[in-house]
Amino acid sequence: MSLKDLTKPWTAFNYGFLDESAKRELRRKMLKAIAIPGYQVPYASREVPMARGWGTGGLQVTLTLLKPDAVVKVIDQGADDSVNAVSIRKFFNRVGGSAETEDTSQATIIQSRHRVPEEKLRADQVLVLQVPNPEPLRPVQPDMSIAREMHGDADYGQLWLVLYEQLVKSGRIMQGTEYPSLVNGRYVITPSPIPRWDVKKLHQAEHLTFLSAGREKRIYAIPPFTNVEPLVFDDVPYRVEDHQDKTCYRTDVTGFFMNELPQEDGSSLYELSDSNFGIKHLKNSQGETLTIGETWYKNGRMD
Amino acid sequence: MQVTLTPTATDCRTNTAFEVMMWALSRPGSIGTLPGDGMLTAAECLLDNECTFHVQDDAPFQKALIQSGARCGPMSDVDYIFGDFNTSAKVQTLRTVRTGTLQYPDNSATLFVSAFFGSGTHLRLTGPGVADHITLAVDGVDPSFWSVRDDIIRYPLGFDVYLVDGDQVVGLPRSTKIEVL
Repeated sequence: MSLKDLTKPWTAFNYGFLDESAKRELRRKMLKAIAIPGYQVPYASREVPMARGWGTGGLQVTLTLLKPDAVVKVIDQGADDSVNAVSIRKFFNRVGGSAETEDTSQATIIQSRHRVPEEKLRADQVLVLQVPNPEPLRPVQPDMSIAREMHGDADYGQLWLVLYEQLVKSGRIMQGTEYPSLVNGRYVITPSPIPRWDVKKLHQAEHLTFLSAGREKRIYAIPPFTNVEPLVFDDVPYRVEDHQDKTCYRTDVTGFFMNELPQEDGSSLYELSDSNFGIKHLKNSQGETLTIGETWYKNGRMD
Repeated sequence: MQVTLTPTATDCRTNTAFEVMMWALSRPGSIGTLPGDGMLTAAECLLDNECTFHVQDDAPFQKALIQSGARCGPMSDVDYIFGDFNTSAKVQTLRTVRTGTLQYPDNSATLFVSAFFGSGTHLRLTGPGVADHITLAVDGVDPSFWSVRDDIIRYPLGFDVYLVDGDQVVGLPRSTKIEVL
């Protein structure tokens, strides 16, 4: 073995921005995350040219997965056209030569901040969710070392208590996002701040989901066909947001997750939160023939 | 200055190898095809100077792995174990491998086991990643491997297995329940 065998020609940057040692570490951790669904694997979380808290966790996972023939979609609260989403997508194109898309069905990797697309994801797609707080136990146990022991012991009683208190105080469960969910019957996760509407899409899904928190340096995964059960009491069924009967004012589509737009007269208008899904419907109503994939929710329900 | 980053041949190989292994572990029982010799290609995309490994009776392969910077160690201490488990004596050595702790179940070993697919022991797999169940025929692994694996794994504690046949690979995470038919 000579020094020459151990080195390689100089380049300005490694392909995919992350250096090989960072990528290998992430690969090892991602495989462990798949092997133990829902368990939060600690990882190094390297510096990336973006502030922590803006999606660095998701960014690092996507960079590890990046290939020149990857097609990347980035969503920010359902929209593909926010500054954050566009700049992340451009970054992938620049460091990985990957194609950009806004179409859910064309993407191979979908990095998302806080929404799961309305169209069903296929078996060959990877969903990467950006996670601000990966610890479901934080509201009840601020000490992360103790929280880790509680995960080890599957000691989740206090989470049930939080839900019970909400029920007693308000008559219904007030947890809007980050709804604690039991993965594979063992670990409770916070499914990142996706609405309750989207949590059911992770249950027995065909795609692979990674959830990565860059600031908190934890990564966890939901493999395909894995049980993801929101914590619910036997006599109080899980309720998604009441958007079944809301109609999008731009596309006339009913039965999907909506953004509420308050009006000056006190009323509200609603528009589809999944922007690409809305755009496809708009274009089709103007005479184009875009294929809209099968959706998880049908007529506002998911069985 | 705009720099275009193009992947080198090594980048392509390691990225593809990882993707194959990721899908193999996500869908236990499905056979993936690695870009090159199984064990070496798999090791190349995972091992570096932060890892430890153990190779059973294969000095040239061990020498190749040392070039990655990873350290060689006894089976009970290491992160990655490469070898064949075709006798019950070899399988018994598995009882010493690291299975993690309840706080850190990821602090555990990953096994790369050489095998042959398509004949031999029929296994029925269920668990995360498997829609209902899937059957897999594996040869070249001692039948006691499966009962010993079952003994050792106390989910979430346990180890993860890759079966490698040439460039083909099957992932068996600890979450998979295996029934010998």
